[in-house]
Amino acid sequence: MVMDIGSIVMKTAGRDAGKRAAIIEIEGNMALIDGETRRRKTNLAHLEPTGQKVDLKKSASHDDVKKALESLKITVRDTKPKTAGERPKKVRKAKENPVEAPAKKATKKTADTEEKEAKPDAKAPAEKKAAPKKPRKKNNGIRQKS
Amino acid sequence: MVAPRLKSRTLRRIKVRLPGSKTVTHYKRRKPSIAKCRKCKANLKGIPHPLQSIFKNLPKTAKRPQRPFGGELCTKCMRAHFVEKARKSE
Repeated sequence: MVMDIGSIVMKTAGRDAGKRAAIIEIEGNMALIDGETRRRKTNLAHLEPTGQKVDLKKSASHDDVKKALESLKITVRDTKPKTAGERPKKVRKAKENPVEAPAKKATKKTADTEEKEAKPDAKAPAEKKAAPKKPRKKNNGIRQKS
Repeated sequence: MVAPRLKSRTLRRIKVRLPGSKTVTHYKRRKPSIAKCRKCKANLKGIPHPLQSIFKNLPKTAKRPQRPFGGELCTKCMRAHFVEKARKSE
């Protein structure tokens, strides 16, 4: 069976498999379809004609396809265009009852500690910065979809 | 002497060489078998088969492919099913 513009096809591969759509455009071995699936390009090898046909112009709009497919009781998938809204900003909660920091305990100073405090070693290595934590391996190395 | 509970073949045996060049046997749980196609019994791709405790904690999308009959039928059988369905609807 020949597949041309307006013929109803069923997608047989991928996440849209089993859904019906109308062909809107054909270019080489690729076709633009719209219907129960998303409006998308597909390989002709992934389509199977159902034998039905509707009147459609080349590269018809989504609304035209919707009207044409109503007669065949095919519900067309509508996608809402994304609108960029404002990003929610994180607001820090102000502490209601700020707790005062506990006073440091006075330590007894011995003769040794006094010396150390007076002459801090120049050669003493600077405090090591905490190395950034490596992210833990999850799921024993099983690949996940991002 | 091996503990009696380790004598059955329920657990798989792994020989491990220790730093002191001593070889010991470790007993570990066997992995579950690979998922098969319901129709043609071919091995299914895209389905991990680690121990059940690890598999349980995976997200749903990592457990099977995202197409109809994903995790049930292989791609060949799935396509054949829909081609048949499309031809019947004529």
